[in-house]
Amino acid sequence: MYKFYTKIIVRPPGCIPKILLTMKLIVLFMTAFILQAGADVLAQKITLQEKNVPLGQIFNRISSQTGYDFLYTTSLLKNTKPVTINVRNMELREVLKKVFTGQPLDFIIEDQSVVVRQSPRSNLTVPVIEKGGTIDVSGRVVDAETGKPLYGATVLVKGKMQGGNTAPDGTFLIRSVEDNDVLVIAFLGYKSKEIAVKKELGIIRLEPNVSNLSEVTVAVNTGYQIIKPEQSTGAVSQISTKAYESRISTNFLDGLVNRIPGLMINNNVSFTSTTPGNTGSSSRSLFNIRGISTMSANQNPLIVVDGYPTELTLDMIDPNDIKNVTVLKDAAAATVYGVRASNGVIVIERKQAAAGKPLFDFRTTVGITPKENYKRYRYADNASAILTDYQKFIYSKSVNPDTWYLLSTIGSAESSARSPLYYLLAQSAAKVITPDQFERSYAALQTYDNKEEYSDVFLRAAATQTYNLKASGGNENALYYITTNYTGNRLQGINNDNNRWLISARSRFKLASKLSLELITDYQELRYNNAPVPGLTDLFPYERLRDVNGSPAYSTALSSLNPFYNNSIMGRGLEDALTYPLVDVNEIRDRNKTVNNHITANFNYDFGKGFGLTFGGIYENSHSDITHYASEFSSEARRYIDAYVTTNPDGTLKFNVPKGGYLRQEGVNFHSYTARANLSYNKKIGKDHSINGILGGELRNVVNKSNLASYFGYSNETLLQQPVDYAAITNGSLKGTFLSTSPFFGQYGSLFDQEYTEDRFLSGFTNLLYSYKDKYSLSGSVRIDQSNLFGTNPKYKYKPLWSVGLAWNIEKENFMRGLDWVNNIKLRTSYGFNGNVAKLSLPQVIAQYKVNLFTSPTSTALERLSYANSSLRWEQTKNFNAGLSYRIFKHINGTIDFYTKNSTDLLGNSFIDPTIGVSPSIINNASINNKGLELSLHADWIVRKDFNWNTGLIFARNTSKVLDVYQQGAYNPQTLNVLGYVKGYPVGALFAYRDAGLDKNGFPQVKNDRGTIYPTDNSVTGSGQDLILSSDTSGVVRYAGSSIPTMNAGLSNRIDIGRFYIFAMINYYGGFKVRVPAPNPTALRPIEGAEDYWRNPGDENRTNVPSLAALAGNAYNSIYAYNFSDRHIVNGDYLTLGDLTVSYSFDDKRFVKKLGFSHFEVKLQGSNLWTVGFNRFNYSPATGSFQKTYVTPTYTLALFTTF
Amino acid sequence: MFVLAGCDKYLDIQPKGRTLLTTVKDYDQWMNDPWLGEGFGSQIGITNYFADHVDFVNTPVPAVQPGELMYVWAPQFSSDLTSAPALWGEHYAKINHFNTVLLGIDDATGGTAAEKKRLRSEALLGRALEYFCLLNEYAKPYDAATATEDLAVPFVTSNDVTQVVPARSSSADLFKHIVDDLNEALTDLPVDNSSNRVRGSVAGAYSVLARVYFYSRNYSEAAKYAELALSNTQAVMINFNGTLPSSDLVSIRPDVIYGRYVIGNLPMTLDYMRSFLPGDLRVRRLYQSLDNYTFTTRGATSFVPLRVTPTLQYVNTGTSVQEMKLIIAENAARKNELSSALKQLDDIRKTRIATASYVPFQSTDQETVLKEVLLERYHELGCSGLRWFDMRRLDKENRMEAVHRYDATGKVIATLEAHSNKYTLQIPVQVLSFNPGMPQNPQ
Repeated sequence: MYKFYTKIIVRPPGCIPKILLTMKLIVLFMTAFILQAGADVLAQKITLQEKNVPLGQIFNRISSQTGYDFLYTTSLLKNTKPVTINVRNMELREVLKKVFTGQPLDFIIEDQSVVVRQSPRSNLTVPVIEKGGTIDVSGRVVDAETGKPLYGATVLVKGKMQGGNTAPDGTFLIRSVEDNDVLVIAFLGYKSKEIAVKKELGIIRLEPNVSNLSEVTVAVNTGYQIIKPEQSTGAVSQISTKAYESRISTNFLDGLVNRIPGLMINNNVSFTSTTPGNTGSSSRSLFNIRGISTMSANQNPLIVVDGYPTELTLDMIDPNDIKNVTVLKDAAAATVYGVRASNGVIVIERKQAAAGKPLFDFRTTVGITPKENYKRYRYADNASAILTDYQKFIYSKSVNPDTWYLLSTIGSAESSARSPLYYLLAQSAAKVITPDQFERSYAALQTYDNKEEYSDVFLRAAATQTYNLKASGGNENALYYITTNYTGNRLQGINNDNNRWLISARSRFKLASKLSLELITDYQELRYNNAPVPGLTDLFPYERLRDVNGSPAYSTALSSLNPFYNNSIMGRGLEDALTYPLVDVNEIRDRNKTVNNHITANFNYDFGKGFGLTFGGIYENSHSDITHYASEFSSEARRYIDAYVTTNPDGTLKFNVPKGGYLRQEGVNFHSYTARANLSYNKKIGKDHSINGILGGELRNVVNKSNLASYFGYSNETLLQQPVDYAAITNGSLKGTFLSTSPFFGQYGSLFDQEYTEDRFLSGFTNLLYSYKDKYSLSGSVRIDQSNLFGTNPKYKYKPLWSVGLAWNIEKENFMRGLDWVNNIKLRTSYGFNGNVAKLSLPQVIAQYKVNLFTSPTSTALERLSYANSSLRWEQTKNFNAGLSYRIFKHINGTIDFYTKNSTDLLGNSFIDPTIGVSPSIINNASINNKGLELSLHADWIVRKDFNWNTGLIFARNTSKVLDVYQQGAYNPQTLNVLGYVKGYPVGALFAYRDAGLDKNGFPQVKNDRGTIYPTDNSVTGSGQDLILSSDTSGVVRYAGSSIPTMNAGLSNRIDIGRFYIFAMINYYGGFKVRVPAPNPTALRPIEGAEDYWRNPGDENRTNVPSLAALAGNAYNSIYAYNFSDRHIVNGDYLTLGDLTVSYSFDDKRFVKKLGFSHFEVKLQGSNLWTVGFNRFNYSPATGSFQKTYVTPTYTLALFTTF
Repeated sequence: MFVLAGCDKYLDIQPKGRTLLTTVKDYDQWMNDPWLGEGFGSQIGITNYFADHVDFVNTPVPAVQPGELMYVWAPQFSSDLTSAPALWGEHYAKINHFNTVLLGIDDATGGTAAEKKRLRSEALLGRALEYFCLLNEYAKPYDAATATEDLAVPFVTSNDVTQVVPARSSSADLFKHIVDDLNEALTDLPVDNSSNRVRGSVAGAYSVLARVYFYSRNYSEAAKYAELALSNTQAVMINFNGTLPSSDLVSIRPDVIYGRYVIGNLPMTLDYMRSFLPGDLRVRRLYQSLDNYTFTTRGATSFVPLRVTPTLQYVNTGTSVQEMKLIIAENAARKNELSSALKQLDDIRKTRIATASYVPFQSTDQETVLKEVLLERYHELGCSGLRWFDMRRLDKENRMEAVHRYDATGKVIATLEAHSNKYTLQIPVQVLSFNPGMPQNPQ
C-alpha cells in the first residue's frame, strides 16, 4: 500500500517541480527553515461549507483563509475521499481533524504549515514495510546539534518503494530489508543522509541545513576565529545582511543605530571631555560599547574589517557590502584584541563571492533633506530689538564726542569692529547725526531680522546620491567579488559637498589542495569641498547680508575692522579688509582629497587532522591632500595683506605680504602594516570533546607623516606665488603700520611644518575553546602587547591581558527533554581584563623640538609636549558578563546579558591646577564602574507564503559611577559639568543650582535643600555668597541626573506582504537630563522669552529672566546662578520614528525578466520623520538643538537590482 | 611568549621631532624655549592694565572682557574655569619648566659638571624671577614687619602633575626662597650673556636681587646689588640722541641685563603724556599720537613703539641698565646722597632728552630729587609692567592718591582708593576651584 511513494518530499526543489503542485518552489525553500520552528498553533478561525469536494481543493480553501501552507505530494491524495464539511469560525486544528477523519492520512501543524503524511498504521509507533528482505532495521533520528528527536522524518530504502516516517520519539522500524540496501533519511531543514542498512542503526544524527538557518545560528566570527554559536562563551551580538539591508543606509554606522544591544550610537547627544593637545573642553557624539569606561580621547570601539583592525575612516566602509556585523562586548570575546579592545570591538565581515555563474548587482539611491525652516525655531521674534537694547545699555557710556573721530583715524586703537549700534552712538555723540536720525536708524536695526535672508542666500536642500555596482562569481578554485561604489553628498550650506569612490576586489584562490589564498584589495577616494558658511548665530540678527543693490554686504559681527577705519586705510591704498560672507563663501575653499589603498592577503594551509596555519597581513596606505585657498577677493587674504603693509620713507606703501591669494597646502601620509601568523586547531575528538584554539603572533607598524607649506600672492589661475620674508612676519620684527594685528606672529609652525610618528607593536595571543558534548564550553584567552610607545614602562611590559569564559547549553541536559518549545537555551559567563596605555605621558617630561626665532641667529629649542606624571600606571578594565541566549518556539530568539566593568587607573586628559601647569594634562587616578543590562529579541511572528512579520527589539541600560577621580574642584555646577567625571556620580553627571526666583533688584536667587534663600548679587570671590555657591555642604547645588542616556531601545518591525515589505524603526533614548539654554537678552540671537527680562522692581513677580546688570560683565555669580539653575534642566527622554522604509520587488514581472534582471526592487525611505521629547518643551535632543523644534527628515529612493 | 622574546630591537626606534630630556644638550635647548623669554603678562604686559597712566576710553560699562575687567580692577578677570588664569597660570607654567631642569639636570648625560651647574643656576634665576612677580601680584605690598604673617603664594618645587600643591607660603618665606635661590645661582652663572640676554648671567642674578630687594623696600640692599649688576654686565644704555638698535630682538638689545619681552600697546592718559618734557625724545619715538602730540584728545595717544620705532616694539620687562641706575638713584635720594642720585639721573636723561634742549636736573631738596627720580622711573619703566608694582610700593609709603577710571563721557566708573585691598590681586577662581581650602585675599 505504500507503492504510491514515488519520490521523497525533501529534495532540492529544482529536481522535482512537477510533484509539488500547489506550492511554488520558493515557498518550499522558505518554509524549509521554518519547519524546524516549534509546534505552536495559532488560533486561526475557519469557516467552510463544502460538499463532496476533493481533498486537495479543501486544502486550498483552508490555505487561502489562514495562510497556512499544505505540504504534501500529489500521489498522497490518490486514495483519499471527497470531503463534506460545514464549519463556522472553527479553529484550524479542529477543522483539520474533521477533514482528515476517515482519510488514510494524518497531519502535523508545523509552525505555519500543515504537513500531510501517511497516517501511521493503527497503534504501531513504527511504520512497517513488508518486502522480501531478511533484515528488520531500526533506529532513531535526531537533530545532530540539539539531540532532539525528529518526528516525521522520511526513511526510505534507496531505489525501492519501501519506507516510512519516524514516530514522535524519532524511532522507526523497517522490516524485511535486504542486507545490501541503503537507507535515505531526510527531513525538511536538514541534510539528508544515506546509511547502509544493518539491524540496529542506533541514533542517526541529521545535520541542519546551514544555508537555511535563521540568523541566530550564524557562526560567531571574532576576526581571528570562527566559533560555533553554541560554543561561544562571550557576549556577542550580530546583525545579518537581511536585517541590515531592510533600511537604506548610505553611511555604515547609520545602519547599526539601535540594532545591537550595548552599542550606543547617537549623533544628537554629546559627551564633553578633553582631547590631547587641546585646551578647553570638547564634545563628541556618542559612539560607545557598554558605556564610557575610559577617559582617554579615543572612546570609540575598535573597528575590524575582514579580520584586521583598520586605521582608516569609517567613511570607507560601503554599507552595501555588509555581510554581517559582529559586536564583541565582553572580555571573553574581545581580549584577543589586546589593549586596543578596551572600548569593545566591531567586526565587519564583508560580502564574499559564491561559486556559480557571474552575478551582477546594481544599486542606486537618491536622498533629499529639506533645508532648515527658521520660522519653526524657538528664537525670539524680536531678537534684534532685544540685542540692540542690551548693546545700548552697555555702550551708551563708552562713547564720547571723540570716539567718532578715532573710529576712522589710522593708528587709532578704535580700529576694531564693535557693533553697528556702537557706531550710531559714536555718531550721535559727535553730533554727526541728529537724535532723530539716530532714532530712525536705531528703529531700523530693531525691526530687521536676517534669518530668512540667511536661509535664502546660504542654505539649500541637502542631497545624497549613491551608485553601487557589483560583480561576483567563479568556481571552487577561484572566486571573485568586485564592487564599486560612488557616493555624492551635497550638504545644506552652499558650496559644501563631498563624494567618495570605493573599489574593492575580493578573491579566493585554492592554490593547492591544502593551501588557499584570500586576497582583498581596496581603492578608495574621498573628496571634501568646504566653503565658509557662517552660522546663523554668529551674525547679529539685524545685519543684512546683501545691500540695497543685492550685492554682498559686509558683516560687522564677522569683520575684524570697523567700516570707517576700513575706509581710511582703503583711502591710503590698502585692500578692503571687511568680511563679506557672501563673497567669502565663493572665494575661500577647503579641499581635502584622500586616497586610500588597502591590501589584505591571507594564506590558509590545512595540515589536516584539525591543524591549520594562517599567515598573512594587511597593508594600508593613505594620502591626503588638504588645501586651503583664499583668493585675492576674500576677506581672509586681504586681511593678511593689510596686516603687513608698511610705509616707505617716501610715503609710498610697501606690501610685505604681496597682493593676491593665500594658499596653504598640507600633505598627510599614513601607512601601516599588520603581519600575523597563527596556528589553529579545530577538531572534534571522539564523540564528546571538541577543541577550537588559536595561537599566534602579530607585528604592527603605523607611520604618520605630514607636511605643511603656505604661499602668499598666489593665484589659482596663474599658479604663481610671490616671496615673503617668513622670518620677519613670524618673529614679529615685521609688523604693519595700519592694523594692530599680526596674524602670523609666532605662527611659523602653522605656515610650515613637518611631522612624523612611527609606532610599532608586537603581540602574542592565544584563544582556546574546549567543548564537552557541545553542552559545556570553556574558553580562555591571553594576549600580550608590547610597543615602542613612550608609555610602555618596562615595569608593565609583559603584563598579559586575559579572560576566561564558560557556556552551558542547558537544553541538551536530560531534564530539559520534555520542554519541546525550548530550542536552545545557553547560559554564558565570562571574566577578564582589557587594558589601555597612554601614548604620550611618562614619569618624565616629553619635549618637542622647535625653532627659536627670538635669538640671533635663530636656534633650536625644546618645548614641553607633556608633563612629568609619576603616577602613571596601566589602565585596566575588569569585565564580568553573565548572559543567556535562547531560541524558543523556534521563531523567537534573543539574548539577555548583565555585565559589570570596573575600570581602574584610567588615563584621562584632565584639567590640572593652574598652580602646577597648563591644562589639560594626562592623569590616571580615576576609577569608573559601569553596570548594565542588555536584552535583544528577534521574533518571526508570522511566516507565510505572502505574509511575513518579524520584529527586532533591543534594549540596553547602562549606569556608571565614578568611584575615584583625581581632579577636585569647586562644588558648583559650572565646574562640575566641565570636569565630566565627579566622584560618586555617573560619567557626565549634570549639576544645577536650586532655583529661587529673582530678588527685588532682578538678580537670581538660589536656595538650599531646606529652603533657605541666598542672593547672588555679589560676585566678589571669597565673599560669603561665593562660598555658599561653591560649597558641597550649603545644599544649593544638586545633582540633576545623567547627561548621557542610560537607556536606549530600538524596535524594528518588518512586514513582508508578497513582494512588498515595510520596515519601521523606532528609537528610544531615556534616563537622562538635558540643560536647555536659558533665555538671555545678552545673547547674539536671543531665544523666546529673553525679551521678558527684569526691568523694574516688581518684575521679579512675573519673570525669571534677570536684569541686564545681573547678566552683564563680571556679575558671574548671578550669571552662573541663572544659566545653571535647575529651572533649565528637563527630562531628556525622547522617541523618534527613525526610519520608515517601503519596498516593492518586481521579480515576477515579465518586463523585468525580459530585461534580464533576476532581482529588481524599489525602496523608498523616510528617515528622522518624527520625534517627541518627554518634557514640558517637547524638546527632543534629536532635533539637534533646543532652538529647533522639529526634526528634518531625509527622504531616500533606492533601486536594488541583480542581473 | 616566544614570539615576543628578543623583539625589543624591533620596538627600539628613535622618535622624530620629540625626545625625553636626557642629555645636557636637551636641557640647554629646553632652557632655550622662546616661551621662557616672554615677559610677565605676555603678550602685552597686562599688569600695565592696572596702572594709573592708562586710559581705555571706550570701555563698556560694565566691563566684559578680561582686559576690560583688569582695567577696572575687578576682583576676577575671567569666570571661564577652563581657561588658564592670567598671570598666575603663566608664572606657574614657567616654574614647572624651571623645576624640570632643577630636578633632572644632575642625572643628565653628555655634558660637563660645569655645564650642568650653569643650567641649574639659570633655572634657579628664572624661577626666582617668576616667584618675584607672584609675590608682588598676589601678596600684600611687602612689609618686613608683617611678612611672616602675610600670605603669598605656594612655593612649588616639583614638576609632577600629580603632586599635592603646598599651601600659600608667607611673604617672608617666599622672599627668603627667592633670595636664597638667587644667591645660589650666582656661583655658577656665566659672566657674559650678550649673545642671548634672555639667558642667565651673573649680572642677571644681581639685577634680579636688586629688583627683589627694591620692591621689598630694602633700598640699600637693592642699591648694593644694582651696583654689582652694573659692574658685572656688558650692557650699556641706548642713546635716543644716537643710533637706535637695528634689531628688535630683546635677546641682543644693548641695554638689557636679563631680558624678557612683551609687545607695547597701551592708550595713555593725557596727564601722563603731559608730564614729559617737550624735548623728551621718548615721546615721539615710543608714542603714537593722533592729535599731533597736543595731548588734548583722550584715546588719541598710545604707547605703540611699533608704529613709530619698529625696532623698539618689544618692551623689556626684565632688568636693564636704566632700571639699575634708577634703583641706585632712588636709594641715594632716600639717603639724601643727592649728588649720587643726580649723577644717575643725568646718565639716563641725557640719553633721553634731545641734546639741544638738554639741561641737567638740579636740586638740593631731598624730596624734590626723590620726586624727580620717581618721575623718571615713571617715564622710563612706566610701560614695562613695573608701574603696578611701583604703585603698590608707593601706596605703602602714602605716595599714591586715589586712581580713577572714566567712561567716555568722563564719568568715574571705577576707583582705586589709597591703601585699597585691590592693590593685592584676588586668587583666581580657576585656582580656588582646584584648591577649595586656599584662603582668598581680602577684598
